[in-house]
Amino acid sequence: MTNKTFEKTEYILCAEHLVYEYGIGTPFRKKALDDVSFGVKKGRITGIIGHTGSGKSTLVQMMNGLLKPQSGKVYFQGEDIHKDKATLPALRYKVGLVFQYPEYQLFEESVRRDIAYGPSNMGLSEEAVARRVEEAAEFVGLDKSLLDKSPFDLSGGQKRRVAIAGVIAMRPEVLILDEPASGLDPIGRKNIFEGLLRYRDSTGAAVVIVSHSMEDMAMYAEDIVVLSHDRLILSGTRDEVFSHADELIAHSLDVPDIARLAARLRRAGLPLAANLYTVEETAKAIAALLKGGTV
Amino acid sequence: MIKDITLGQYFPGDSFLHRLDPRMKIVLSMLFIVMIFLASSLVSLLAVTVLTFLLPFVGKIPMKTVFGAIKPLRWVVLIMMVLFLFTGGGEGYHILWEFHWQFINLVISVEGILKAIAVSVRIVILVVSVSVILSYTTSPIALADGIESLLSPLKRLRVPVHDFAMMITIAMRFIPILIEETDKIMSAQTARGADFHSGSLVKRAKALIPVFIPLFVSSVRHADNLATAMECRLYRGGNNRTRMRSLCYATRDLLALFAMGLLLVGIILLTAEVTYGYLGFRYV
Repeated sequence: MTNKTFEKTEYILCAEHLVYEYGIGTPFRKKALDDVSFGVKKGRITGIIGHTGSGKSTLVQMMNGLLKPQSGKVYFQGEDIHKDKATLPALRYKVGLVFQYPEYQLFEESVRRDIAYGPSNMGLSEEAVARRVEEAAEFVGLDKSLLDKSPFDLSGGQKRRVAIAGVIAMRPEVLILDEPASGLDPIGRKNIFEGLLRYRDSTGAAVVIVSHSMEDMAMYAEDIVVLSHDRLILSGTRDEVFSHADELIAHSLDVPDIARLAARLRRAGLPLAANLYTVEETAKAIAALLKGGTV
Repeated sequence: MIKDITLGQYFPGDSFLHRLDPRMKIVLSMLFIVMIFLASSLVSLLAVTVLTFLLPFVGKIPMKTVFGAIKPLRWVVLIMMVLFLFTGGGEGYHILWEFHWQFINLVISVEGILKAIAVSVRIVILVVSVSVILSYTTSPIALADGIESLLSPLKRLRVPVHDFAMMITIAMRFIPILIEETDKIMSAQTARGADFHSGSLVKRAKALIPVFIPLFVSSVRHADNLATAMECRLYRGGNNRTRMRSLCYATRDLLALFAMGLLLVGIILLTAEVTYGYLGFRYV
């Protein structure tokens, strides 16, 4: 499962045998990625999970050509993205990347103008930019009244959504987000993820979420890629990946708490299905069992 | 990208030079500079040059890194060389070529050529010796501690030495953080279609606004957080403060000072001998 060969056309964006090392030729040399291959499918939410320092952030910066792998290739719609350097700027509009703590990049005097930065760089007409700004704000659930405020006057969660809207406004076909919900309270997290789902559902774009929270992955990701110490250890659909619980635990990554609870209930004799990873699904399954009178 | 710039230049290691007390290293590098300027004859300059290029072996610094430190000097050296080469006039000099026109007097002489070479060599060994003795082998924090300790007699004159050293330490501590942040912000804006590398000068300057504003905001945020954290730990300046790593001289520091003293005396004697002794060749 780890080293499958890719049918490039199956994926909108895929990586083959990526290798990246920082600080070559200095005493601070460090391997960030070693032979990592995976693919992202259109219209699906892919989660990339791994500990701090497992190379997640390096990996996502390669997917839109900000970093060039020392060996290996990245393909967008079957084309090597580094084949022609002149196409890279255009690629960055199609593969939108939201960095970690994106609220620290806000710089404009109003929310509206900050969201407009990306689409105006694309050379769109003023009306088109304005339309995209409103549309992006709607996707991330920002109230229209906030658009004319200074981004520096907003709350942390609102700032984060402004920054994400700034990338969504470019209407990327693949939207990659590095830890989009880190440091937010549960409501803030929910707002962010629901915005991403809305964007995926109405545009059919691929969404890639980098996270170290198994709970978030279980809730929202449909495909999962697991990185540990610069290597890819598992990839596949959510059910496939979580079925390798021992391997995850061996890399001290763990399965979601609720999955462990379900496993314990199964061991206690409850006939629960094997693929329960979210609180809602598990609650429904238990309720169904209770109603069915099997307990 | 920007990350590749080595600021602070510290090259971690465990050599004799790395283990010396930072105060001693500051003193030693000053003595070394004095030595370079006392070596006013060609022979003693040659001796000092050899000594300088032995230093990287003592500090276990790769020669490649040392040459990296010299590389930015190439224009300074070139200008100095040209300057000294064409102004080689002087009494009793062996003149090779002359050019006089109105106010312009260009003279090339044997002594002028030697002077040009000597000046260039001095600049290079000055930078190499201070880099190896101090910058490459001393962490910025240790360096700031050393400066504070050496300047502490000035406290009697009510110079805020501690505050000054603290400012240097904090500034140096934040250089890598701000570089990393600049890199991140530039990448993030590039991902939103920013273009820093093409267009007219005005356009490129404008492209930097989305980098500088967030950077400025985050510097203020860092300063604010740091101030709060320092206040939470009741920081109130240098009075009665003790250190985690208090500086203390070891035998090796004395040894290094002794060796430096010997070298200095040796170079002075050599220069005197060569300048006024039987070889009788003098260029300065």
